[in-house]
Amino acid sequence: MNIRFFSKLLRSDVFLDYQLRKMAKKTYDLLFKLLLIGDSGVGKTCILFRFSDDAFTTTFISTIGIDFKIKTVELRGKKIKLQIWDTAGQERFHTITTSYYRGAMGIMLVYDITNEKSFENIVKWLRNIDEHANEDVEKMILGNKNDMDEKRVVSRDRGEAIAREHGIRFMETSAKANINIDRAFNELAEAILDKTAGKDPTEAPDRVLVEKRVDRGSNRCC
Amino acid sequence: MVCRPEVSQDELHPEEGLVPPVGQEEWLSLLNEDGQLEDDLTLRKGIFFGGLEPSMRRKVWPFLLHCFTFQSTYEEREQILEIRHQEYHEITRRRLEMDTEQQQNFWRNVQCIVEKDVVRTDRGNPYFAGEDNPNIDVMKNILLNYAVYNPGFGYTQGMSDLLAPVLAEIHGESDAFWCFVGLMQKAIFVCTPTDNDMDRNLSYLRELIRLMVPQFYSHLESHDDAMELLFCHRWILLCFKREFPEAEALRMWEACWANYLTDYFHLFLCLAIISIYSYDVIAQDLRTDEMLLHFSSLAMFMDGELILRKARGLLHQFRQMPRIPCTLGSLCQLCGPGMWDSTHAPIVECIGQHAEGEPCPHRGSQHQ
Repeated sequence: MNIRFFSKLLRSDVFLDYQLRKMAKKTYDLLFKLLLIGDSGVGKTCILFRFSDDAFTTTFISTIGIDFKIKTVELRGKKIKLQIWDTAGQERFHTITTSYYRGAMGIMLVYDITNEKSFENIVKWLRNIDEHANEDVEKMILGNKNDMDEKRVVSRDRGEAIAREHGIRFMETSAKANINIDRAFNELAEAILDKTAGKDPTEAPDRVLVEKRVDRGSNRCC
Repeated sequence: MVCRPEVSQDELHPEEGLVPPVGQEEWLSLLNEDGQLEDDLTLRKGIFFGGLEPSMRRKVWPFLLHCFTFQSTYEEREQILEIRHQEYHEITRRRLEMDTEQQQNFWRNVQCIVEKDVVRTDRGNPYFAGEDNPNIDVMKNILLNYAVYNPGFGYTQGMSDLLAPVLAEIHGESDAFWCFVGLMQKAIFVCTPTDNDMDRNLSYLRELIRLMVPQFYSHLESHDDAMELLFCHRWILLCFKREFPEAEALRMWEACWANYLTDYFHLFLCLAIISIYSYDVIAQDLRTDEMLLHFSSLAMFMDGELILRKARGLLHQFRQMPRIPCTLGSLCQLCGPGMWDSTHAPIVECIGQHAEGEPCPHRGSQHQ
């Protein structure tokens, strides 16, 4: 049989599956919007892919524009849907930049422990956050590729120091060896949960439930 | 409910299916004894409708990418190639002879990103597959040299994606470089650091949607930030390369490069994707971020041939309009003769999106 025919068939099946998934009922209590930023090639997409699909491949392609993935986690008995935005390391268009910073509740700043410049640029990325993101956004610095210790040029101490200086959480990770990836996302999500709950316990669910459909025209939406 | 995409007969361009693909025989029949292509319209029309046989890419792409003019003779082309080889050699020499400071700057601004990108570009293509593939170095050299040749532009992520198929077809480093130079003149993101080119394309696209897919336009209107059309940035930047398998994407590139009837065929391709695959978006009232997810999940699952047919149909429909708004006036100003039939020229109508008393910047006529 003709290969072309098979591939069409396969494609339409996958498409069908995607349609069905999309139709599934929304089953979560809270939605957190997270953002991954950092220099090109530090492993942002790999971190995200490891977290969302528990997989790693060395043949990744550069991210152009913006993409996001969704993963639902359970924290303190609440189902939390994480919408994680993956960005291009080389910033291109202003509209994209502002759209993705806007509304982010947590931001992961990623550098590569084998690349000095990516570490130095963390300061530049922090400035971007100051300019574009919400003031109360939760931040975390990740030193990625810590499976490659033989090529390390940024010590863990330096990573911890810069995080301390800015009062930000810090972790070393490896998307390849699956080190600290889940932990990082969970910790960031918990920090957001703490903040949300701490501020205004009764109002909290509504405040973060931006995703829940509110009938258009209704005044409940803030 | 699953909606299987299809395009009905009356949505198609009337010449759909009537023009055969361009192969060796058609190509040779178009050249005169000196090797000049006197009737490039037939070639471009053939490529636009029927496509170019893959074996012909190496011959024909340099014309589509403006390395050679259609009127050049065999002899002139030999000379051009020779001059271009020398020029390329000169560019390489300039790059290698930078002083230490220049070298450091170049490394920081260009080389370190290029080096990261070339090893993750099209490695699935046999031409770039495997460890220590020398073609990856060739790709790197071309990108570095391009940044030397066009220092104001340097390197932007995505360029490696555009270069890879060109290099894989053209092979020679210098020849591929000059084709790439031509391609970059056509590519949207050649205009950096400003966003102007992208903005212009998006505003045309918004107007085309308003005119031709009005239900989707109303959907966009009812959601915050939806008019930014984030979901089509990558389509435009990489000319659909990440949305379709390579064979189909290259058919789209060639249809765009053919410059037949319009210089903006890529926007009609965007419009075709939207009109075919936006049924769910509207039916389920997807919000801006859900729309992005919807369209990015469709990447590699859409039917490229269907999109091409639909896009040609939409272009035809657009050309038949008796009146077009002044906001789309430049779509026909830029592309020169051939865009409109000699028998039909639409009235460019001012829709008044400018300060009162100001003349219409698009030179539309007032319709009051």
